[in-house]
Amino acid sequence: MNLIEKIENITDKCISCGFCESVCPTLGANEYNSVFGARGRVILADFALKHPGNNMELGDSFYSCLDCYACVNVCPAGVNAGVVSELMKEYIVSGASGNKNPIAELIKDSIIKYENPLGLKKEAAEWAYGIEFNKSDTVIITGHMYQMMPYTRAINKVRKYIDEAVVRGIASAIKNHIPLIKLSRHFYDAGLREKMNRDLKNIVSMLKSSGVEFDYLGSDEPYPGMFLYDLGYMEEFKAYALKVYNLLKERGIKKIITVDPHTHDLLMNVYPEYIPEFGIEVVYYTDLLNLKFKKFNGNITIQEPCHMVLHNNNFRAVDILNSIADVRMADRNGKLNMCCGGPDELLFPESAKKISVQRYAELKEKSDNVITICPLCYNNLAYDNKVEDFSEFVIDMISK
Amino acid sequence: MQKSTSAAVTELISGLGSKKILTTAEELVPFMKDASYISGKMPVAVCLPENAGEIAKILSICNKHRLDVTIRSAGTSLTGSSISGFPGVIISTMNLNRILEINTSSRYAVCEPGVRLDKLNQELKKYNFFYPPDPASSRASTVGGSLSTNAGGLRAVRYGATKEWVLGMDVVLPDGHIIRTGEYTLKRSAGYDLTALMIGSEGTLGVVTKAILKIEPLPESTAKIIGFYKDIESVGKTMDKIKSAGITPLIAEFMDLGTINSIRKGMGLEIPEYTKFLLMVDVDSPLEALNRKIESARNIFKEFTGDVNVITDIKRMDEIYAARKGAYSALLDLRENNNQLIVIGDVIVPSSELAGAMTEIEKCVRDDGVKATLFGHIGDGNIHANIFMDNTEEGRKNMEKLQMDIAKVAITHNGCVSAEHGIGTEKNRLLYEEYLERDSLYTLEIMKSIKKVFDPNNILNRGKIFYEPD
Repeated sequence: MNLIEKIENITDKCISCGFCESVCPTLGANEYNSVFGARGRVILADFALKHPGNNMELGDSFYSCLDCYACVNVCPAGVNAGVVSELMKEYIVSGASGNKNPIAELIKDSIIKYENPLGLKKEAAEWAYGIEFNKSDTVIITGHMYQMMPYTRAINKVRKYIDEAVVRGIASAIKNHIPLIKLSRHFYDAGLREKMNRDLKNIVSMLKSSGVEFDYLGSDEPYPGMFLYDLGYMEEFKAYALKVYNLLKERGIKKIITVDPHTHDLLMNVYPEYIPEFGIEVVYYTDLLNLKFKKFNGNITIQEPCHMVLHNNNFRAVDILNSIADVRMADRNGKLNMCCGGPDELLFPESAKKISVQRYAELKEKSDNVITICPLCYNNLAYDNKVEDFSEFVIDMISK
Repeated sequence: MQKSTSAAVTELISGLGSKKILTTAEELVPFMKDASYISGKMPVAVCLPENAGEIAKILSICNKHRLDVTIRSAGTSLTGSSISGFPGVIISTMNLNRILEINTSSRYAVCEPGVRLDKLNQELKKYNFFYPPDPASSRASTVGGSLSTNAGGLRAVRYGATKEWVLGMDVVLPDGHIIRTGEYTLKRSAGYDLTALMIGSEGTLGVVTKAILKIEPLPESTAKIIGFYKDIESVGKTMDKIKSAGITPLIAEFMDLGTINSIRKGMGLEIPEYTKFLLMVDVDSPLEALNRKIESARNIFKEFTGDVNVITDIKRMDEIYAARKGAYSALLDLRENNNQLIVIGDVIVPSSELAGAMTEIEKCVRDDGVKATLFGHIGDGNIHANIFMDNTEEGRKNMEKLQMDIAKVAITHNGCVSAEHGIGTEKNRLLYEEYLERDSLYTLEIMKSIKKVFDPNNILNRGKIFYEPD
């Protein structure tokens, strides 16, 4: 099946009932401009493919999709508008229609050249200075996710004051002088950096206390290429993923411990799809915890990660929290979970902000104590200090 | 684009700002579809107003320039009501989406049109109340859309359709006037009932910007009784006897074998092999009297079938309710290919006529050689024929013939061609047929005259409801 057939195979099933719009976070965040909603994306994709040569600007519609997959979980016809968006981004990147997003182009080039979206591969390993790891064929892969959050937060603080067209212009200029991207190392939220580094250390500490032996690749750990995949650069992703795989193979890695849901989903489900020989076991760190916990004196609510609950990946984190505290889930939970808006933070910060404010309010309605299980969720929902990452909440609950 | 159209769009942009007026092709394309099988024309602009004042401004401009206007909220219409047959303007009411007030002592809720029905009920549940109309699309469909089609749903046997639950509304007329129809009171004897007139008018008279809705306490305790049957006559007799015994069910649904098969897994019930039809009845009562109510109903079921299930577990009841509500959707899996469409019929007959009408409708399906499954709201006589239509000229003709044949059965049995989905452009030929058969085409002329009073330039939802024969 070629790319167009793959897309039509999904869009043809759509009956335009609109159920997906009732759960699509980006629709409400864009004042119900349907092109920013799940159904609108499917209808637009179908129309664009049936009318080739149109002059429509398709990018914003598909790039703004959060890939949360809330849509397919309510669709009576089994249509995944998230996958349609992924494939349409590939269609746009192939040059078939629409304009490429300059920010996406910049990130792509940076990943390929520096193995990190902001050219910060070395900085992404700094959290682990001083920690001793075991020599092992099991390795922790951070995916650079916790480490990138302080930088994206600081960059977005500046972006708020700059017109979007200017931002895209700056991105194009940096793309033409790619080493300039490394200047981003000067833009970070110091408090958040300290906290994110602490979270990673906590995760390592809990794994060690659970008797797990594992290694860390340090500044050799490559970014796994998530943005290449998410932004539709499939040819580049295939080549890049193969490079990452070869590195892991050279190091004799047999098992990967992931610490964020995005990297987990990518390595668990996407890598084997593109690299058939990828036989490395992937396990989420919460599933390896073997600790005794105290009871939390109060209630909590949980922001479940879309890449686990809506992308059908099992993990034990919610069970662990249920064993510790009185959990009060938001009305939208499980298969109706609402995304935090995080995946839009780089390309559509305004939309990401609106979604996170709405979700934060929904969570706070249930409990003052919000637990996130993904660095992206934390970064987007931490409007007060009662929002905590799973690692920082749970480490305090370990029975001594 | 014509000069006057272009001038109107320019005026809209200067009046509301470019963010609220969409004009690029990629932004307009999604508004060419709703949940019907029909495709609309690409609009020249889509307006995203936030309040009644902005809607008044939009309508005044369009009225001045004689520009066609289609009103749309969630776009879940099954009859093409929310798409346009003309390249005009679409007004989306989705940004008017606040629940303004909930008053449990006077028992009303005040809502804007873009509030989704499930969202409203989620809020009301916090007070132990609910808003009864529950179309199968309630996850997505809105207060505005359900008012404009007089939507019904599973609970209509007890609570009736939307028109029973609206006390009043604010409406913007094509010339920009904002009027109030009705009030917050349960009773009102004050001239013509314009609230009733607006309900079911499918956006042809004005734009609803606020609705005062009646609300009801949630039933105290409920039970679901399900029986399996070899023939539709026994289903009809069971239902007649239940109602004659003074039991008014909360829900009374029937489905044929095709429908049962499509939701078999979702329901999770043991289905006897002989089954051709299923009857599902929900009863309610104060907790202490529920068992007595269940026994009365079960005894009636037992007179007509040997296999009766009683379910009182709330989780199981919710699962079966969700499966039934998703029946139309589940049928999608039975399509022979992705291009096959399911067109849903919506006739209604007096409930006592249902068994007879069903037998004739089954014959129509056989005679026309079109694949169709049947389910519906037996308590109120509403039959949905789900017609599998090949997306070809011939497929469309076959579907239209079957729709007309079924409509004629309903008309013969003193029924109507549309119970709860509205007319749109899909059923205007059937509506014409109904009044023709009743020798009452003048009724349609009166409706047209009323429309002229509200919308003298015929800008609102042109082509909807009224069929113009050659």
